[in-house]
Amino acid sequence: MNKTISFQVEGMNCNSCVSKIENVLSNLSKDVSVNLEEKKVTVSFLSEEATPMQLKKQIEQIGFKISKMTL
Amino acid sequence: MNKLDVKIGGMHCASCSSSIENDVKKIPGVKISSVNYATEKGHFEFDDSQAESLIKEKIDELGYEILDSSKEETEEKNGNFQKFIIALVLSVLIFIFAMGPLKNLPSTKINWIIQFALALPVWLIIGNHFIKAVLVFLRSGKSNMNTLIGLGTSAAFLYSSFITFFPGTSSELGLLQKVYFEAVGFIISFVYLGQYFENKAKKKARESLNLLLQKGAKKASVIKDGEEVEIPVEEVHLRDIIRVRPGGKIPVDGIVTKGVSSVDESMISGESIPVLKKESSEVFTGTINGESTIEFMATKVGSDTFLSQIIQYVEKAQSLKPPIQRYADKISSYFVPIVIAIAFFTFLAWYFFGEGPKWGFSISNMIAVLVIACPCALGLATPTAVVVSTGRAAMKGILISGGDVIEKGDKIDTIIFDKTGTLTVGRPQVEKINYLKEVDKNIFLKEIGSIEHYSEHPISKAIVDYVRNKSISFIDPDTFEIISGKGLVAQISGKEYIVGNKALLEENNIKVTGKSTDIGTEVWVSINKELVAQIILNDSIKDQAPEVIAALKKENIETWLISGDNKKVTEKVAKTLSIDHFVANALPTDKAKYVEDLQKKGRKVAMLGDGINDAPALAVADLSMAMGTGTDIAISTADVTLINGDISKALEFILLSEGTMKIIRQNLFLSLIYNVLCIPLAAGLFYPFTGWMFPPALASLAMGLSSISVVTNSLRIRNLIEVSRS
Repeated sequence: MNKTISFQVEGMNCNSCVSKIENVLSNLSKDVSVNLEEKKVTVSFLSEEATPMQLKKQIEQIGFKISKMTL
Repeated sequence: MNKLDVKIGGMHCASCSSSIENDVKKIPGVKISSVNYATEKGHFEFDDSQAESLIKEKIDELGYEILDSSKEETEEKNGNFQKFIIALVLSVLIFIFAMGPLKNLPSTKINWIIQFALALPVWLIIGNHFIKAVLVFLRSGKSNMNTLIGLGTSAAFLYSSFITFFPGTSSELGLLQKVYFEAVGFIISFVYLGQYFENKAKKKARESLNLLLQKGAKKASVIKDGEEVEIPVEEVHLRDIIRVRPGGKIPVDGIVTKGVSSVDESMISGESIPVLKKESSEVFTGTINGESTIEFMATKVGSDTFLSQIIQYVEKAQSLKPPIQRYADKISSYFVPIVIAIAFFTFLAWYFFGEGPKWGFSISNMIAVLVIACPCALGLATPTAVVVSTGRAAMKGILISGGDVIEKGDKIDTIIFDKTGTLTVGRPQVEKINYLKEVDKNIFLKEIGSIEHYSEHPISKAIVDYVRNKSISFIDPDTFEIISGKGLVAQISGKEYIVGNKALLEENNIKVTGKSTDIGTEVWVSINKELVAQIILNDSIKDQAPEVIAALKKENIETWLISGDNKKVTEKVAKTLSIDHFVANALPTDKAKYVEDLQKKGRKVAMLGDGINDAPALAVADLSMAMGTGTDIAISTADVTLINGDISKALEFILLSEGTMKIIRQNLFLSLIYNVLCIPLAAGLFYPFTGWMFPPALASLAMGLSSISVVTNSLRIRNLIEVSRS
């Protein structure tokens, strides 16, 4: 089943942060869009391939914090 | 008031440091004089500007030197071991010539010259500071173990050299034709072996102190003209605006100007729950930023920051702490004058009442007394016991920072515990859930667990653990939002959950009412704006705690609990464990004051803590013990570190040190008894009746016997903890 989730990512302040996040999510999803101004990361994924928790962990692993999440 | 902080070299014992202290105190204008033997630092305060040079002169005159503090300290320690090896090799060679296969070869005279050549460097170069100790004694009358060693070895060496090179004159005088070169060599070797052991134990204490200075952040991101620039933390100025990312360390003290975030201040307060910081809140150096970026204005930089002040407090406390006088030196201070008196009396008795050659017998016997009385095993008595004891302790997960720590453990009669992380586990756990509405508990737990699962906050983790233990699986919430420092808002299974403190629920127009009789952290839960439950969290008491407190009471040790936490929580823990006294709401420096107050009442206080907030108290306590799971600063301030934060090891350490001290006292007795028993023989007391004169080999025999007895006795410490357990 195709799902979409968006994260509010704290500490994402520059373009290099964006590419780091895109990079780390690329294994789990083909469709990642990032809005740097709103610090918002939107990910479309297949529920068979990833879980929201996995996605969240991936982003947190490289040093960012998630303050808000909408599925 | 002027201050002088210097590093002092050449101190070999605690009585060295106290004699510097006392003599410097006598200089006019000097108000405070404090010398720490372990850190080799001197701290002096004076109001007369001329006093500084007088202090330096005095230290020099007493035979110590002021070191450039930037110099490497390791030289001395490695040097000691090298000196021991060189002295031992030379001594074995002397022994081969004196008593071994080369005895009396090729001729007595040449044999003695070879022995002389081998012993000269040992006495003059390696044993140099023992000679110095004798000179200090002659000038100032101050004596310690080194004086005794210096006196014995110098008397033996000079006498033997005279016999070797002036056989004619010495025979005419009637001096007994015997040499003590091998005794000189072995005495100095053994004393160096003892000092090597001791330095090994002391080394760790000094290394860990340096760790203190490496705690803070190294770089800071400063906003200059709208641009973010990364600069070294030393270059941050007052009123600079600094940005800290989530998870970053706060580099200097300041006041928040932008952003809201919770900050982990556990290293300062000891409390594991993060503190909410918003505009105009104060932030402290070394604490760790939580979930969002904040900006703040620097208000204190460099040595003014809270962290630096704690470090300075610790350093000062350590350099002001009275060093424990070592037993060996205490004994020496009595033994030296007695031996000198006996030697002098021997001389007089032989001169006036003796038979045979007047000068010859009186001098020979006086020298024999000085040589036999020189106890090489005295220097081994404490270090061997300490090395065995620290090794034993390390195997049990107790790390000891220096030999004198064991003496301290023996004397403790009061022990102060920190609460969080020391007596308790250090993180919150769900104690109970009060339901305020009828709900299906399984569904409620599943949903709240699923929400909290998405947060990294310690309270959330506690709730997740609680739910997980009930084998409930999680689902994904539809939305989830962290409200900094307050709680969470989430949508799950079509319901809106608000979970957090009272303020968060009230902001959402939910009336919070309910009994507050439970002690602990309260978390309120509402579903669709209706108050449903209250979760009570507490930091639970460690499993070993009750047993340890009970055992300490049995040992007649008074127990205290001093915590930065509120009165209700502190009292609850104190009552549960039946601790004798408790103090709540204590700041880091308050804790240290309580320690000092108890010390003023004559108590010997041990402090047990885990965080930076305990560091000042740990530094002033007579014995400090840190949890191996705590912050580096607590560990490096402490005398003893308990691995895995197991407090039953604190008890084991106290029992081990009591046992070790008993062995040390026996060792001191063993190290002297053979020598003391030989003194009458050396003085020639039996000569008139039996014709016995003191054979030099007897000095070596006494030395060998006492050293073996001391070492064997020290090895018994290995069995100590086992015995104390049963």
